[in-house]
Amino acid sequence: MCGSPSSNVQQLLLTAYAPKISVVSSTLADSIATSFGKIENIQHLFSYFENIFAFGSNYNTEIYCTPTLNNSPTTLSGSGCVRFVNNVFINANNEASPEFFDLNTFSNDLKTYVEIIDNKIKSLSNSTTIDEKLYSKDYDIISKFQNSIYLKLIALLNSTEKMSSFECFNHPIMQLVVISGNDSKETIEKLVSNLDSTILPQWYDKSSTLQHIIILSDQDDSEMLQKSLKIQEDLKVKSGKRSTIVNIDMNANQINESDTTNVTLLPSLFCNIKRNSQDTTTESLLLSNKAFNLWKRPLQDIISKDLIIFMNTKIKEWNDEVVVPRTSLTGRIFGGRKWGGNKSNFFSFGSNQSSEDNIKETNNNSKDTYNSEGGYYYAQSPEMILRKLADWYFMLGDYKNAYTTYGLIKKNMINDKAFAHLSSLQEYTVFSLLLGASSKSGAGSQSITPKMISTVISPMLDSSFYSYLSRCNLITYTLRLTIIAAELYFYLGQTLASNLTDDSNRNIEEIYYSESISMFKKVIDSNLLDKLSNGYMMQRIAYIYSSYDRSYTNPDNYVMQDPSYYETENPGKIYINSPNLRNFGQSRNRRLILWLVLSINEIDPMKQPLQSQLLIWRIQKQIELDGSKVNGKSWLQRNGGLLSKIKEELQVKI
Amino acid sequence: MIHQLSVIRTDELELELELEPEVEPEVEPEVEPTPDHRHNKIIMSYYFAILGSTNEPIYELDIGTYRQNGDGSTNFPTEINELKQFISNASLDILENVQFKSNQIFFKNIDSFYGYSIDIFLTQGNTKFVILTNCKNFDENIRQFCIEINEIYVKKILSPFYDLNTPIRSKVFDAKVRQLARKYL
Repeated sequence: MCGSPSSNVQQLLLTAYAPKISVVSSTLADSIATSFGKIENIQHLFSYFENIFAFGSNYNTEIYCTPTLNNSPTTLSGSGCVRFVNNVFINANNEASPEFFDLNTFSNDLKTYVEIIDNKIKSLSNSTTIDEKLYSKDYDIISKFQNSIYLKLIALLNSTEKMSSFECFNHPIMQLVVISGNDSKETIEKLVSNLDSTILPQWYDKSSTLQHIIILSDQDDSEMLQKSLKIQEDLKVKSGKRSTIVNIDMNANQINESDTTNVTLLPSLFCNIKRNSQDTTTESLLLSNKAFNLWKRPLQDIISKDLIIFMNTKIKEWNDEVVVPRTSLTGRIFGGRKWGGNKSNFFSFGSNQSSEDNIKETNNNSKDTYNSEGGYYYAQSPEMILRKLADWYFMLGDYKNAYTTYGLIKKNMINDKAFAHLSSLQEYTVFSLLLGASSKSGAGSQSITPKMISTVISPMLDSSFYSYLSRCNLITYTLRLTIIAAELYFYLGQTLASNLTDDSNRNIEEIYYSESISMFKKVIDSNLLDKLSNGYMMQRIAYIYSSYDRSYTNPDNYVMQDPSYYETENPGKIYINSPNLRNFGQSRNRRLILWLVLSINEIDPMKQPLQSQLLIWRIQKQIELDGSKVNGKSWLQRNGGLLSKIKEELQVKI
Repeated sequence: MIHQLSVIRTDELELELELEPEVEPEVEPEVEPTPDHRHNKIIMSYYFAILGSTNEPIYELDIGTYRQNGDGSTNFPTEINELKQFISNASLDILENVQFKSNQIFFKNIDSFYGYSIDIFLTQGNTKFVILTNCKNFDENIRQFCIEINEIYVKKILSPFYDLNTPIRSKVFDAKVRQLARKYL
């Protein structure tokens, strides 16, 4: 093992694309939250529940242990996987950079996380350094720590809360306003009206954000409860807003350490890394069972009764409004290039309208929906609605419908020369195809054939890569596209391998792996990432190579036969034990060594001595398994080679 | 008697080979390339390794081409010099995957690594001749080179003074390999 299983990464990605809930809270509400532990505000408290809602258990623990491949979240669709984010509307208009995230911050955060992991590994031994014996003894736990670095890298890639004009995953679907029963009327009005009063970009549709108010009340304080009920009544009558009163037992925040029912919540995978680095020991939150249920129940209710229903209603509405006219028979015949349907009309064949008029009209109509100067589609344009619809399908796990809906807008975006939109569209078309193929629920579970890869997926990925990088100069989007596509290919390969007992689909599995490797190589060769991240990309390639080697199991009905005369052991014959005949030609362990060595070189042994040392021990273990040694030393370890050079450097450093 | 004879004959052959003076390659008079001239073109370089049946190296040689005014020196960058055994070793994974699926013994361009291609000649005794090179379209020459190397290698393993899969330290063998490299590469 030298990497995290792809199923972990896939689960992480599903959480990353979960519906976003923007949380706004009053100071009094925040002060209630802070009494439950080292909490900064309500949003911070809620973020601890993300994993619980997504996977029913504390998913984060899975990252620090080795999960089996079979625990993929088949019931994720509609089960309430959400992400709680800050109030993202404040900065929506002030974004200077169009990039998805800041690459420097990304590199620094990853570096900080590696330092945290280094300290954790060092803390396993009593002395300041760790030796090879300890590494062998605690191999499993050290591997888990190391694997978490790559998962953090993927989380950092998706942790941004920034809204973009060409994809709707970061557009909050719900805004939770959390207030206290003791809050003044002005405070409540200010918080409740903040969505309506904020001037948002023209590509953002406020009507697709549901507002819900949580009123916190002390259950022992009857006066506060009365106030809360009044606030609820006022909100319902005056502004028609839905609200929930949460009765809080203020004694629930006291924890009896010896109580076995206490629940430890691990932080959100996407939380700010600096929050962790200050104090690594208290990153998890300990809640009493009572307090845990107190917060969990209302949040669960809001997600299942409000959020999901709202999403489904909107999907149906948009489907009737935009998709049906487009896809129905009448729509196809009478509909034009746009959904207005008044241009290339079926009956206009014999008309005298010149083609120039047609072009003029098309351009005028295009201006109604696409702002070419600003590079965005207006919120009410059919393209934006369709894009949002497809993204919502994607969030809910309906990849088949997402794929179909993405396909409906593609031509319009090509005509409008909306390249960033087009790249993003193609990106998610590919993701929905790959995720659909790997999902076991049956929705969109069309298997990916080599022909589909060469004719559909690869051209789209190439085109998006080029378009993001050269036309739009969006480096971060390019990185996200390539890394996630590589991971999804890898996940497909590993899923296929885990489902098969024979070698019937071995070729397809290898095609998925090689596609994945070529995508990772593309990231490395593009030199867009810093050296440390590139090093981890190389380790990922090494891990993919290690996945080629799978133990062969005999089928149940296999009967061992006596070997023929010619196959019996001939004592006079040279016996070669070096090639391991069990996996002869099936493994890629030598390539694994190559990429691990390259990875050490990339992360720089002088800057990351512990990580490099761990990898060297990992390589040595692998070399021991390989029989090609002369006098106990492989030619890979001899002087003049990169491995020996790194070892020398490390000895000087240590 | 026959057996004894054959032993004496191979013994003599080995002795003869060992005692044979090193063949000095005949240097053709040619114009010494100026430093500028050398820098402007990519010199084709080869890393040749014979891997025994248990995949350990028994002979290695770095050699450059004598074509295009080359003088036989290599110009592998430092990174590739440090990595060449790793790259060659990694290509064995691919070889093992295909070696029993086809009848061929010469696998041209079986693997590649950032512009460097790897060709492998597989002998009947599972010995591999691995060639890592940065030159393109010389597959036929490399194949011919390997066929001739195979002949001298077979002669070598016939020698009773040589144990299979042990390093080849014979100067004569080395000189012959260099001569063949000069002829074909």
